[in-house]
Amino acid sequence: MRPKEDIKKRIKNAGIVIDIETDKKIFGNILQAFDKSKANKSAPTQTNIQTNIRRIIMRSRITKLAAAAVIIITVILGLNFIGGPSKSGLVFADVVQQIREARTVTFITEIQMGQQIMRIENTRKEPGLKRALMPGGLVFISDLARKKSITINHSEKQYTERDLENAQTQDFFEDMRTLPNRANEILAKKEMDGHIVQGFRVIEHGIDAICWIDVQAGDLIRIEGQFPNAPNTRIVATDFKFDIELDDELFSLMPPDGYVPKQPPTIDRSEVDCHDLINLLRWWATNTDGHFFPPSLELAEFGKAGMEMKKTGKISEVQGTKDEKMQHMMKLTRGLQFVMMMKPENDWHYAGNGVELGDADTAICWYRPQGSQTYRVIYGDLSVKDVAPENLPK
Amino acid sequence: MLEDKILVWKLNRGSANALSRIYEKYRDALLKLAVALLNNKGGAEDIVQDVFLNFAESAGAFQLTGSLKSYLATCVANRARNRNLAKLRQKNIELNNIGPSTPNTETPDRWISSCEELKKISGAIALLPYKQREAITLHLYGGLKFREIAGLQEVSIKTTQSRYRCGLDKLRSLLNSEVQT
Repeated sequence: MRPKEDIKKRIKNAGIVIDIETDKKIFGNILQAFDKSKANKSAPTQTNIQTNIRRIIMRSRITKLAAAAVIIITVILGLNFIGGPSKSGLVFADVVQQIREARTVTFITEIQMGQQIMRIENTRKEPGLKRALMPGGLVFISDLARKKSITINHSEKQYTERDLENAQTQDFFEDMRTLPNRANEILAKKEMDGHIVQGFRVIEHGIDAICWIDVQAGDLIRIEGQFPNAPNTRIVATDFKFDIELDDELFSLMPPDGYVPKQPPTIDRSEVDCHDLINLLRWWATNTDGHFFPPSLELAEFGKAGMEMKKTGKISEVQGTKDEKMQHMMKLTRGLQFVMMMKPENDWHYAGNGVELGDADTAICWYRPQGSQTYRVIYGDLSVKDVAPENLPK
Repeated sequence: MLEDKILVWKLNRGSANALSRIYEKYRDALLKLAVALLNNKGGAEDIVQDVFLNFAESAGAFQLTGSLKSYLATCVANRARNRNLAKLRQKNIELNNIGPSTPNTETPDRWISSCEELKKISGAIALLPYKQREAITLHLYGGLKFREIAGLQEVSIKTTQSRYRCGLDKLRSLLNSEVQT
């Protein structure tokens, strides 16, 4: 390398380590300034209330990544009870505006995961009322302002109430409300459901969506979304109806007479740690052909490998009731979340490709825990040791 | 930088998520820039926090015309320059004759917990004339084009490029001699 290039590289690559606690405090101050400035700029309006509600559901930094992890694990396991996270983009300012300002909306989503398709009839009313009619007679109703939800199972005459405080969910329609006015790509016109439509493609933060608009009438006809991080998963939203009259009764959180309560499955809200990752690694190695660890823990690669295994029938079927399957999926998702939360200063490495479960001499991954001088290493027998940097695998 | 435009668009519509992404995306580069311009961790932290606070307060009306990183880096550079000028006014000396900056002072509850290599480099950069310092750090840490730096320094692009090259040559010899001794 030329000397000048060398010095440039040295300057550019000079590292900096941030104190996480102080960083949190500082960003907290910045956020306060941001909130204060917003409050000064606008009086409390319905839009503010809606924005605050949206903030509740989108606040978490890793919500979207976590949602992607959930999708991937669900698709790999072949389960069919996931909700409908998606994202799309619209271009025409009028359509975007219509979505943003809609007081009520109804639409249908079809979520395609591999060979499975789940159809959901969605009904929304501002501020923050949602109703989703799902397969099997399940009705999910939530009130984000009251932070409560109820799931009613008409076929079994049961209902489950949930507290949405601190809930981390992703919402297709709420995501659409925050989209930019401009698309990355404008597609050719074509005929769709009796309309001449033009496609507007938006690629943003791991979502690739096409919005089909009847350019003559200015109506939104269909949104098709794909998730590069979750291969073989696709969402199609159609039958949009904006600002129609909707009775508040549709969003009642009261269970029907005679229905019996059912406890929601317990969700582990503890901080994810390396044991969650070990659990995921063990599951992969014992449930796929060959007892090897996954080729990669990078979300897209992991998803791709999982789908490949699934396609070729090399992943064992999950046994148990629907609730047990849900618990299993959530547990595995935590392993991926652990990896996704790694920061550059954690110096995360994965070297499990081709390593067999039980190989106690081979390190499959290592990272530096926050503030630690040593690295935590996980070996092929899933044992964990803290190792000095000079003793790390080369 | 379509992603930045979208982030700013969302920020202007009240998205704290967008603010968080911008903060995480550019925090380190801005801190490195500020440390290199001031050779003082405490001062650098103050400036970067100040820049982000102002940026957050401008949400709703912020208009992005070029690169967001360049904009934020220019804000840091302007504040660093003002801070240096204020210090120099006290000492009554010319900006371009600025000598080594105040050495790093360690105080508790610091944002930057460690930056040993950067400390060495900023120590060497502090020995350069201020305009050379700006040309190097704004280009390498702030991602500014020479045209933008020239505009900031109110000189021709050639002068900026020459300052940059000259500064790099000096830095190379300063840092190499440090290795040899």
